[in-house]
Amino acid sequence: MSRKKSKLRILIVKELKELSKERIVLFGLLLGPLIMYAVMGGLAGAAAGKVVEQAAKPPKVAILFEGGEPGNITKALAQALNATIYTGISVEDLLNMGYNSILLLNNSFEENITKGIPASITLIYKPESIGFVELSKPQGIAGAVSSIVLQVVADYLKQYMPDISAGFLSSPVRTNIEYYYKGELLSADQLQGLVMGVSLAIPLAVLMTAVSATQVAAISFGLEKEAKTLEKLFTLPVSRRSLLVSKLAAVTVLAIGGVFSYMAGLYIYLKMVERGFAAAAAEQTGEEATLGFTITLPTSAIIVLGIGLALTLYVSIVIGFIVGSQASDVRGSQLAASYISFALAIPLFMMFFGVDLAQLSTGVKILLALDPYAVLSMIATSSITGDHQMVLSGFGILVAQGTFWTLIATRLLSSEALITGHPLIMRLKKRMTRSR
Amino acid sequence: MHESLTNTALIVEDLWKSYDQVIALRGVSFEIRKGEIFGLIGPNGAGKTTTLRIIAGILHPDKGVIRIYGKDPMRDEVEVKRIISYLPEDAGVYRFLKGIEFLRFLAEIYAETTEEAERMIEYGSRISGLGERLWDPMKSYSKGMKRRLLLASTLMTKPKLAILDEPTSGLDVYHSVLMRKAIKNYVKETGASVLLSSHNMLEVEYLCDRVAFIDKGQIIAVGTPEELKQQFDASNLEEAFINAVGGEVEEHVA
Repeated sequence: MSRKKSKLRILIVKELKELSKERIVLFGLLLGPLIMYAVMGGLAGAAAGKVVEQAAKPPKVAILFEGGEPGNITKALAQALNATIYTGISVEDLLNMGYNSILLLNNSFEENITKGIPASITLIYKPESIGFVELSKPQGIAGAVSSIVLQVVADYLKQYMPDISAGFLSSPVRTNIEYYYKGELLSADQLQGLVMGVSLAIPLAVLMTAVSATQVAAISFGLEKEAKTLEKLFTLPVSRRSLLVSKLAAVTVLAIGGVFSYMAGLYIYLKMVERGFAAAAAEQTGEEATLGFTITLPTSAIIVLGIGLALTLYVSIVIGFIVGSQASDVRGSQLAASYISFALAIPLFMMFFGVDLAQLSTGVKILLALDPYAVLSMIATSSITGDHQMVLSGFGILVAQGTFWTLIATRLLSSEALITGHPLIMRLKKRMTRSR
Repeated sequence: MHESLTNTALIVEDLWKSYDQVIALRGVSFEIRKGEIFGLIGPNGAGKTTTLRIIAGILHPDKGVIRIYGKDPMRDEVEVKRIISYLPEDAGVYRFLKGIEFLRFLAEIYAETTEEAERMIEYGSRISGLGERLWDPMKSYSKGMKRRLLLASTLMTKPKLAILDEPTSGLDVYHSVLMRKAIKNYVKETGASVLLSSHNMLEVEYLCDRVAFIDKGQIIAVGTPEELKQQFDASNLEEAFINAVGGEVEEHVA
């Protein structure tokens, strides 16, 4: 007589077999991120060459002087910018002649500069394409104009005030910025790495993990409802708790698979972009180059983030179950899960835009404590700033949330609302049908 | 009472159930004997499915008593579910599982040993009559094939009480006959009891030893098909049912 497998294992295997073959799960969660990032990486890598090429190509500048003869300052500017001065011609004509940058100058510009009054000039730039590098080129020309004018003024003053050094005049104050953070002096680059870790990597990780988990959990119920298999499942000689646990386990496995897919995809994407830039830069300069982009986090923060993510994952899955159990099919469950995920992700979007959740008022913080994504974000930030009390409080809140939602899910699963529909939702549906 | 219990597979007493503001069952009572095929007949919305769902343990009654082989399904839920099996009216299948995987899944849940599970799968495969198609994903099955597989999965666990809600619903004549034969043979082979609901009076006359008429959540008559035909002075069960509910059927039709 052979010993049989545990019922929980049988249920989990069935869940995994059915869910993993579902198109939404297979492509949306398991393969999609990998394919999407790889394609994006390929495109970005290929585009890198064009970007580097554009950045290396100097703008073709013309100066259009209006109202008389150009003075010495205008001539010096033209020489420095390798530009030709034109008078009595239209902007359109110059653009047609192949210039893409046209500086509009007049007598008042010269007068103001010689009198020491700030002068304003207009720069017309015709971009070749709508890209970041191309659109940032006029900034470079404007910066060059300012430094040339400053140099001209410096030369002028040097002639009459020889004791003052030209270096002082062209750049009277040089600012070297350093940041004092957690008892250490950090350079701007170091701090940028830290900020990237907190404001980008963490919300991204939370979003990827939790949103995917919520979706799959909701779908797992939607599938049962759509296929009308739930009723049969409920008559099996297993407890409702076993059914919930098996679904939880299967969805967690798939969600972890999804996270690996996202992480692997993101890694491939960054590597492809990096290689694209390095190859293009090497072609231009003949030297090896790298992207120079790293996200680093302390080990303790990674451990804390891992625990927080696991707890958040659990809460998200249970919330997904609750949402999915109220929908009548896969689409409905997916849509409902999307709305819930979007609402829960609002604090993360705030983080993307640089809002420090820890600095918000107590009332808002209490409200955010109901949101597992926000709690995890606060845990992550606190782990980096070394606020251990906040980290522990966060864990406590997530455990409390998990317990609360599990109780609700267990209650829902053992209630008949899953089969007959929740009375409130049924009444709403009836009303909507009548009003149509 | 003791003798009655030993011969009784199912006792339903004064079952009440309401959804929100609608009363679905109003004191439903009946009994099913061991080795008997019992039919529950009534129009749409009469309370047939609600009754079956309560007996299967999916819904909870507001009031009433149910005993399945002397056991209370509310108290001994898992134990009772081990000896019953339920086929819902509009039950579906898992699209990506193969027919054989579905049978294996259910067999492994019910069986105590691997050998018992294998026996169940073998029995289920035979009842389904799907042959090689059992190794295809269930999404490729026709409606008739799905229903046959579901019936096979319901009977292969050898339940002492099989609850079948409209077992031949939506099937063509050929597949309906196959299903009816499978049910009849199952009872003959195992001595188990079957509770089924149906709209098809021909099916009920062919299959059922006894029948209960249900209307507006109440049992209005119980007996063998012959007894009911005599009681309501009718030549067939359909007529008997119409006579039993009186002029109200006309209202239903109108």
